[in-house]
Amino acid sequence: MGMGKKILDFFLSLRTALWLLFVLLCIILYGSFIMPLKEEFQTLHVMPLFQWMADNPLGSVWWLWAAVGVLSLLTANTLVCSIESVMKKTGARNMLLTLSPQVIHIGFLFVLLAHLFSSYGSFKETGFVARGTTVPLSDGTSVLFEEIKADIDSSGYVGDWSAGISYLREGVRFKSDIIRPNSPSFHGGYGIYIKTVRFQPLPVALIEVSRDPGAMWALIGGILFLSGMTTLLALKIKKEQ
Amino acid sequence: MEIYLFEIALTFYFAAAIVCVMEFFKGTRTTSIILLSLAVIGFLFHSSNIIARYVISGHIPIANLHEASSFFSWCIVMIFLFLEYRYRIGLLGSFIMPVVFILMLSSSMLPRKMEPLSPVLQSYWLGIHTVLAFVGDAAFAMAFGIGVMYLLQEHFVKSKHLGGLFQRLPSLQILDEINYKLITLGFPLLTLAIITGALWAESAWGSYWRWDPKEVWSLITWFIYAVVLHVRLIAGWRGKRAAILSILGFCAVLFTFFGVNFILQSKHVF
Repeated sequence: MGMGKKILDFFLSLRTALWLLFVLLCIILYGSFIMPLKEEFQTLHVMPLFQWMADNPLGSVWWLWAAVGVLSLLTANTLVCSIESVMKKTGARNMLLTLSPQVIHIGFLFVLLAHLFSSYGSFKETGFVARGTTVPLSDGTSVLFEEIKADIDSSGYVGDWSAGISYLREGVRFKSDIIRPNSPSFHGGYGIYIKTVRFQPLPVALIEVSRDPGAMWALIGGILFLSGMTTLLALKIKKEQ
Repeated sequence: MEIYLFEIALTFYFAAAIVCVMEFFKGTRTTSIILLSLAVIGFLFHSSNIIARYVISGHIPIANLHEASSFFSWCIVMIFLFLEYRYRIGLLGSFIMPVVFILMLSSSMLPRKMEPLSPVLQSYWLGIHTVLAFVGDAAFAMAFGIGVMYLLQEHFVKSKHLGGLFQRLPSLQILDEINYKLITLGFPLLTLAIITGALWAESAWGSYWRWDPKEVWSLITWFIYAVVLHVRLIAGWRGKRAAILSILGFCAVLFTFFGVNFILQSKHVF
């Protein structure tokens, strides 16, 4: 038996998938307990994952590298199994039933791809800004923070907060927006998020400027996954009836 | 008012849990009817409590651990009553109502104060994300109960103890079928809950995945049930193995729900 055939059989095996999932589960399980204990993980989401992993000691982040390795093998396993399944069942009476699980797999792969893009090319910058502050974006646009507001009731509870912003190009305003929790402003692939506000000693807002190139892929992956799953369930129920 | 509704529901569930013990050891048609009646009345008071909290607070009452535990119990009872209606497994209550009572009891011991929602939680995603997650988890809780029943029934079959309890438990085939159906209900709901959570996180925090322990444990749970479905559909793992995996999966659900909050640090409120 040739080496290529051995490798193909390895990736075609359900046993391989199960072992990979088992190892992945063990790694993530370990990580979930380690992350709250080590201080370096507090900065995990403030920079691209791969950059963060490269900047931190291997002794702390080995499990993340291991997870990336196992996920790569799982990706190959999913791809090979899906291709084989479609090839085997070409011409089957109910093609939709054959294709639905593969659509689910493609959705899963899109989500993995999304994480890969985000881990490599995301951008995050966080900081406090006061009224009148200008934050430059990489495309030459500046964001001017014109107003910082909060709704505070009589008991001192902050019910809402927002900031009025304007986008400037060469000092000329071309777009205005209001950002509040769950309602960021987007421009040129960047999102401007308001996290919280403070009014002492002067009004400032905690702002995050971020770019997440994987977000759209994750959304597409999620939609594919759910469409595949809904179709599969509907067909199975119909078959049972 | 809503406090009394909760207490009355808790009382009925407590009574149901006691009848469950009687039902388990010496079940008759009467005990089954009493158990079901207590569960239905408790469920009605519980539903009224949830509606009352919704009206008072102006948002879906899943904003703290007390409300979350209560809502989780409510979802479990809802699915239990549906299964009772569909399959008429009188003994199912003996495996489910004690879990419901323990959840409600723990909910009653947690702070119940209705606080205004923080600005980040004032989103339509709160209702969508949490309801999907809880209904999915409730389906897994039922699969857990059915899994335990399966193992018990299999034990009776193998040891040839074909007495009272064996007669009252459904056949292994039916238990296996219900287990599978519950997981096929719970898995898409959990998937949707994770996706809607990611969408919410993207709009609130600018990142759809933050390695928060609750997210990580939801992923662990998701992988466990993905394995359950894969091995069933591809390798034909049914019966005992499926029952054990569904019990294991529910342990992960419980840890995600309670363990993460008490042992690990999470950005999630509950």
